[in-house]
Amino acid sequence: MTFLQRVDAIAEQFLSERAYDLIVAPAIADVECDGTGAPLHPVRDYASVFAAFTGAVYEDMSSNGTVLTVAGLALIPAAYYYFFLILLAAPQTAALAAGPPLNGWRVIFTSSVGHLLLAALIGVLSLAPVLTCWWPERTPRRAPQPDVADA
Amino acid sequence: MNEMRLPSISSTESLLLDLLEHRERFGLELVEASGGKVKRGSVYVTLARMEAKGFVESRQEERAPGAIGLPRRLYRATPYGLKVRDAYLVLREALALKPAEAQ
Repeated sequence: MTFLQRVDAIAEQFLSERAYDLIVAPAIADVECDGTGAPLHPVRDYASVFAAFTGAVYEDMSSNGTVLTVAGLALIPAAYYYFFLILLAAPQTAALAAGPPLNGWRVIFTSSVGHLLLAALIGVLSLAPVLTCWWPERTPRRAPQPDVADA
Repeated sequence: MNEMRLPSISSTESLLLDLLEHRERFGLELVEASGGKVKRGSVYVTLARMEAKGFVESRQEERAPGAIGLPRRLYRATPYGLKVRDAYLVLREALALKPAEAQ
């Protein structure tokens, strides 16, 4: 399965009919417009399809206030984990900062970049289950293609 | 009292309406005709928003039997979209005048 076929299948499964038909499908069609189905400039073409897919996801979520709902639901586990992160990491960070400099993976507890990485990780881990559980069910829209062997 | 909600139009939407005023075009044609002002990744998101506002109409291209891949989508400006664009052009010109010139 090619990259375009994957994006097409994911978009068809998870996006609304409007977002798929008006945003993702035309973007993929543009890449395939040479008639051979193969992109002329793979990196640029794939980037444009991915950007269209991202835009379609945002359009789908923002069309009926979904962004706020998802953000609100993700905030609950995020706040829970951030609270424990601060509770556990703050004294340890102070102790580590006072001691000899750390190297390797332990530096994430003392550097601001490490803190940002931890915060981002918590954000992603909080968002993933909300999107998985909340995302509205979509039904495949294309009529099933007749099998050549059946014809 | 019910307040009338005015349609909004961005400079990119105005540019796309200019390009679609006289003939139907594909998204990729619009990107090329815009001279880099409209990006390939965002053109269809913008066009979808414009279609929701009623500024453009679209249809799938007619294809020969056996053609490979998904059909492309052709866009054209609606009379309403052109009317909104023209109204905003007049408004921008009027607001760009200095007070002395406006009298």
